[in-house]
Amino acid sequence: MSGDEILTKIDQLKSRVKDIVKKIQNLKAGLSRAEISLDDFQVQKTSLENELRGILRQIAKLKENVEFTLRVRKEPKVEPQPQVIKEEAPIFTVPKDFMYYFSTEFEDFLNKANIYLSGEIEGIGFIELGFIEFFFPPTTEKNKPFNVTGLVVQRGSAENIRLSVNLTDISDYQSRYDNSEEGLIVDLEPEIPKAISFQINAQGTHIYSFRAVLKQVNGKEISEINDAFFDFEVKALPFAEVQNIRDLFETKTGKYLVYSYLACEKEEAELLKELQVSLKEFGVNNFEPLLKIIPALKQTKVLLEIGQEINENILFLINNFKFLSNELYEFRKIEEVENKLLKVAEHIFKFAPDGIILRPLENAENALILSMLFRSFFKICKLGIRKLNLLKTISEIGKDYHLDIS
Amino acid sequence: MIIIENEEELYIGELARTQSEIKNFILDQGTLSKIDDIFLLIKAILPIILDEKEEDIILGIGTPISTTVEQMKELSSKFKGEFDVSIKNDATKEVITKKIVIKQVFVMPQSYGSYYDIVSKSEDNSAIDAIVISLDLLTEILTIYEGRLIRNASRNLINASLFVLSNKIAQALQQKIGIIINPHSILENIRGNKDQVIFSGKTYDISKLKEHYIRQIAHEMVDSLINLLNSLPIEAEIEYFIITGEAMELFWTEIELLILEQNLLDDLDLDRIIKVKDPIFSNAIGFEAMVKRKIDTGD
Repeated sequence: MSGDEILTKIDQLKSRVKDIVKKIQNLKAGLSRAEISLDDFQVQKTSLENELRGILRQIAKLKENVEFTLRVRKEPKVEPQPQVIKEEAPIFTVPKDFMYYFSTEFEDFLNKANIYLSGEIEGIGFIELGFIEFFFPPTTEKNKPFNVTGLVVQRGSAENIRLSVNLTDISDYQSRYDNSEEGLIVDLEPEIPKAISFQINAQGTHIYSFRAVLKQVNGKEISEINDAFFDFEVKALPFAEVQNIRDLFETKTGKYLVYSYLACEKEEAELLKELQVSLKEFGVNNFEPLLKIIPALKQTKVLLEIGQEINENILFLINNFKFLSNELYEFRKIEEVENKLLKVAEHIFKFAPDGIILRPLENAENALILSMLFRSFFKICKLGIRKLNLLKTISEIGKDYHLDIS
Repeated sequence: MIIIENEEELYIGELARTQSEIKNFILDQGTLSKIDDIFLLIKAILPIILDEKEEDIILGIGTPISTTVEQMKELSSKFKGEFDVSIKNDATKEVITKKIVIKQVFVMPQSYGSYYDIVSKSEDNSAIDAIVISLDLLTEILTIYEGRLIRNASRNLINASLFVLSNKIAQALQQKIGIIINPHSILENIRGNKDQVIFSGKTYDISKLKEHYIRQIAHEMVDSLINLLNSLPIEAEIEYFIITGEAMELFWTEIELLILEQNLLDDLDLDRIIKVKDPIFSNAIGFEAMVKRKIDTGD
């Protein structure tokens, strides 16, 4: 039988299938109207179903032959109808990304030991550095210590440790402090005391870098300090009331708020540098990401008590984000998605004059959790927001060139 | 196959089924609960499929849809890292020892593999609104709508699966011939769609039993399918039904018939029921393609 003949035969059988199915449905209707007896119904239905089974098997067998013929003869004419696919959503943006994300990246954050760093720079004030992957502390004594308190948090439990990271005199900052033998490289940018930028490349089993721009602070100034974790990828998060222009960078396409979680991977830190260079080329000179400096927690006991809360809150985020992820992949209604993100954020955080406070723990000094949640929240959002913003940016660039590519 | 773990030897797979007095089934009531055992199982398989003594790999794992995200994460984190694995061929006593470095682990609902396989081979690589019916030891119905995996409309069916078929036939045989029959002992015959089984030297024809229970179980499957469809938004329209899994050959006719009878297909268009070409491996093939793509694109 030729390909054409097979297709014709299949079409005939298909129309027979339709006839039989309609007959079965009519039988059912007849039974419900008591036009035929149950016995008659069963006999006729069984007979029709048996015929239908036979035809279905016949069609399946013929289809195999068609495909075989096609492969051999390569006749486009007899090619079976391609799958009609109506959605424009590419398969590769379906939730697999989301699943990958949780199964590979986010669990790292939950499962690996993280060290939360806070400390006091003599004569400058408290700083909170956030979480980093554990690294081996350096040992060499230098003339002016930069004491760092670390807290290992792993799956809800917390253990206080103390690390001592020794820098050269902070006021005698160097553009680069290389102590790689000790597992530490610190970059200091010459803007002290207004701002310190430094980078720690933790070396050893976990090569992670850590980049932040710190602003000098004392207790009274905290509320005035602009709140932003910087992230060169995550822009325009909807819940921040930005008052300080320095949290924005401007491009031709508009202003963007820039956030980041603190501890970023080495590659990302490098990417940030590249971004800064690119932005300068764009004519953006005021790109100055700031780290929010929050009062450090003084009592380790409090940290230990809230260790359990951390996981719960992260799980809350995950659960809520599950919702959002569904929307995020559509990319159709960006505003709606942003509003939903905002709702999640509002649920977790309280926006107070002196900063953003974690709602469930608003009575506690919760810098630790706040930092952790921020980091996790941004990390979670990153995947979706990055794509949203990409679309937004593309669309805006289009407008610059008088093109509507929305 | 035997895996040597902490100087202890453990049977894996068919050898475990036939030789072990204590059997650890990796699924419990359709849920993934014994992650340690799964870990052992996969560790045992890897040295066979890897060529080099020491190799970096990226692993894609399919789990039942009932697996929680937390369990998926646990699975993923457990698998990542470096492992020295020793396995032994029970027949030849040959021992293979390999160092396995698992760089990344992707965990997804298993029948997503078939979906991916089908869609990635389609002309424009675009998402379709589909329900995947994966007919394995544990049946899985997975709904993908507008490119989204809809968990609410996806489910593992504990009461309608290949194992349930084997169990029902075993019970019916037991009543008829008065011998205690382990469903696992006839599973291979059922898998191979064979009509005879042999017990105590006697051959029994199970074709009628099988036909009866296949129809019964298929009814249950399609009933569940309809329930799941009801949980989709009203405007949602499923374009395709993808049938896959090792029991596809047994069940597809009944499922197709019921889908037609229940009017689940627009215009009774049979082309919208897709039976995968390689039902046993389709899920795995899809996963392999997914991971390859991830590597190729450097995601």
